[in-house]
Amino acid sequence: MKRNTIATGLLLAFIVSFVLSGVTAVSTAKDVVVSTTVSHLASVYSLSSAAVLILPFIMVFMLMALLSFLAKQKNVGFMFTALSVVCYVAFLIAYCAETRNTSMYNTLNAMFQEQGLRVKKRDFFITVTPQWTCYLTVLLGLATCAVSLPDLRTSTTRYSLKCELEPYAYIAPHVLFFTLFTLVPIIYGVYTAFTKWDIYNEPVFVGLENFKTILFAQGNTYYGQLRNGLWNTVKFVLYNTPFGMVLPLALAMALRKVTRGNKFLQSVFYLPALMSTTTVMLAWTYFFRKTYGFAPNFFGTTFEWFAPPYSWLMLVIITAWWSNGTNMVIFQSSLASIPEDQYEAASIDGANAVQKFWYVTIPNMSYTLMYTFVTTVISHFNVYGQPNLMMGYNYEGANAVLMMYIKDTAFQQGVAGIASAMALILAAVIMVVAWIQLRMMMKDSKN
Amino acid sequence: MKKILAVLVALSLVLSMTAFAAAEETINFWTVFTGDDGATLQGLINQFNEEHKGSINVNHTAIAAADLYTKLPLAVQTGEGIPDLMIGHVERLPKLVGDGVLTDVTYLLENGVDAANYPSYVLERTNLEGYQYGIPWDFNAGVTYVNLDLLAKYGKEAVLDDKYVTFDEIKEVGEAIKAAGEAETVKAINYYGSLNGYLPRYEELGGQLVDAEGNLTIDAAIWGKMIEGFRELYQAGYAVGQEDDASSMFIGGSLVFFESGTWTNATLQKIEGLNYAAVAMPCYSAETALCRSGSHTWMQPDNEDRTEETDKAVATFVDWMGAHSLAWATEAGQVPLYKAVTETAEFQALPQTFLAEAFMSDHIHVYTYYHWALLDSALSHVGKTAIYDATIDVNSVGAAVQAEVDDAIAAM
Repeated sequence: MKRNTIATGLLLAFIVSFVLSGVTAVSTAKDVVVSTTVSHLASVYSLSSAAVLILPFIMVFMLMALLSFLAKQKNVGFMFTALSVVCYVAFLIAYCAETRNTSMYNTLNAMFQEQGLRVKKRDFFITVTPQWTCYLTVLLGLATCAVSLPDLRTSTTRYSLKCELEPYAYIAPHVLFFTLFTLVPIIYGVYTAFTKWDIYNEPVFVGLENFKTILFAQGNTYYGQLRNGLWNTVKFVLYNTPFGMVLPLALAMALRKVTRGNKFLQSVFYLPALMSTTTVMLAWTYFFRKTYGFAPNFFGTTFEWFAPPYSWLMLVIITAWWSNGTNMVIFQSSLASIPEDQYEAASIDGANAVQKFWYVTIPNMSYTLMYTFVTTVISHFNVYGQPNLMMGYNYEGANAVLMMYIKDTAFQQGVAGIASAMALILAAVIMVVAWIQLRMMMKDSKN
Repeated sequence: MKKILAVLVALSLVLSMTAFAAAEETINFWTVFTGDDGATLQGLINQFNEEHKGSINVNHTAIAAADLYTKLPLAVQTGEGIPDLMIGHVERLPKLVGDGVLTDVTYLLENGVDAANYPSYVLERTNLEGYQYGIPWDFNAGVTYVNLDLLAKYGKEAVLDDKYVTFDEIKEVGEAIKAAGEAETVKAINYYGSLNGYLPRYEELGGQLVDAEGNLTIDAAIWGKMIEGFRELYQAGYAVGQEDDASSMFIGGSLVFFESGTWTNATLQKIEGLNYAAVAMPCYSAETALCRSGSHTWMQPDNEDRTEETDKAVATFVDWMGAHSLAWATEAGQVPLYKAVTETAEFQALPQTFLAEAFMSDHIHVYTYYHWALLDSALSHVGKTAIYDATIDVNSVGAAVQAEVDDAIAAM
């Protein structure tokens, strides 16, 4: 049998053994001994200590090792197996060194309470020991490494090994940070949507219950909040996106024509984009508020600018003023790259300014427009600061967007399962809209 | 030989310095005071650090309340960066204890902090299952500020005689403003809404907030009656609108009664020429009057690594702060609760300190509902719109709050 096949078999045994392994936690108080077993898979979602953050890495490395062996990349498979073994040993040492793991504490404390004992947390010590399967897992991992160990005796194999592994060294920093700060949070976020979790205690898997609540349980608070929040978000996108595209384009084209003070005006238009949402909202609120506001006093307006329906108008004006600079700069660079001779040729053919815009400018900017259109829509779907700071939930949540409800539900209330389910639905809506946009524009560009 | 001697001398100096440094206890201290009051607190801490140089050093971090209550349990869970001491809201305490975030403060009470220095009716709210989990620092209450010049202008000074302002008296003031032909520009009252505005009035009308089992039990009809009362005052033209900035109106001299809280006092007392007093939130009658108050409370997060030496230093610090808390009243405009301070003439002369007077103890409600964060959030979602919008069914408001809290508990 080939070594690669043996290594694959051992690796599969390593993975199975890992999945079936766990630790035993024991605590003693007043001669009462309680114990519980925590599997590694349960630990992953307990979020009970920093050590459990190593577990996703172990699983990613195992998966990469398996794929490498299946693709006959034995050396790469060796590297990932070795990494997963090192991480697993590190996890076992760190996890078993914890004397007061919260997840275990909650379980064991409940056991003490069942027996009529009240043990204060500071007097609570837990002894954590690996099960025998943990040692077996390490042995299987080492065996996989031994079988797949590259032959380093000749310089040719050493050179080919270097060529094989070098690319991984280049992408390793990015993969590390991507896994730690993007992949792991996404996985936890998705999983959370299928649990009941108050952020502090252990999540409890509830399947699709959260989705059933927010999508179908009429009369439930979160059902109403999802509908109201999502509809207001869609309205925000519909009202703001046209201004978020047309105004920056107009400004960029106007600046192209302006020869004196071009850079100064560009800085002025871009300046609001550097400000924080809070600063922007405070400034506009002081300007338009009913009591001692500049606009009501100077222009004599009597209606309430921050009450519906005018509040939507305010949101459009403020968002346009605040965010136009970013798209404007992108459009400026795109406009600058259009060859002047195309305009000259169009002029010779008798094209007027409008025709030049439609037949020269727009086609040349198609990819830039596509990019900014998609990113603008996505950023508008994620709106939070402006409506939250402007009027919060006033007027029966007339301007309350979904992100406001998600943030409150997760961090103010500690109902993270429902909040994650809402966030997943928002993510799904954004993905569908972005996909439709791209499909339509790709089709147009092909035509 | 000289070199060896020099090295030995240097070494002994370094060692003695290390020993000296090791003797200093550092207290990592978190609070929720991110505003002007935080500067006053830091001033007190600086004074403490100066007086205890070489023995105790307090390292203060002010964190916005919402962030603190998210970070703290995570710190305790991971065992990383747990503060030795914090000042948090008393309403949050039961849930923090329930989640195993806090430890009791028995050690502090046995090593330098005397419970007799604090009002017993506040202390007992942080005693859960026989364990003391908090020591009060101050009252954090809803307060109504009164523009005394305006009150004199409309000839209604008598409304302050019994230390309470009733809604009937507010109507009287509103009528006086109308009679003076100034109803368009001057208003009698604003609505704070939220916990401080709603809860005491709901209970004053006979509503029960929490039953014996600790469950929220909002009576939608009584809640509706409360909203109806507010709406009547607004419709009669006495109250400010939803979009009006009550704070600016009060400072600008166009609002007589300004519902807010102790936290606003620091700003008001800096305004020159503003002649004001502070009373409890308006009530239905002086006999049934209630005032919701929170309390910024000393608490200790659970931490197995904290030593007895640190706890002794914490006890010294907490007691010192209490004894020097007059500045918390005079500079930050708050209501510290250390008895020796509350008995001083300087403290009693301040407008907001009526809250610490003996007559208030029967009227102050310090709520410690377990799911306080849910109630707070639900109240912010219903907001105050029902007061101003006559198309909204008043009975739907309390029902919505109850439903949201119930739905949240079911989903936790």
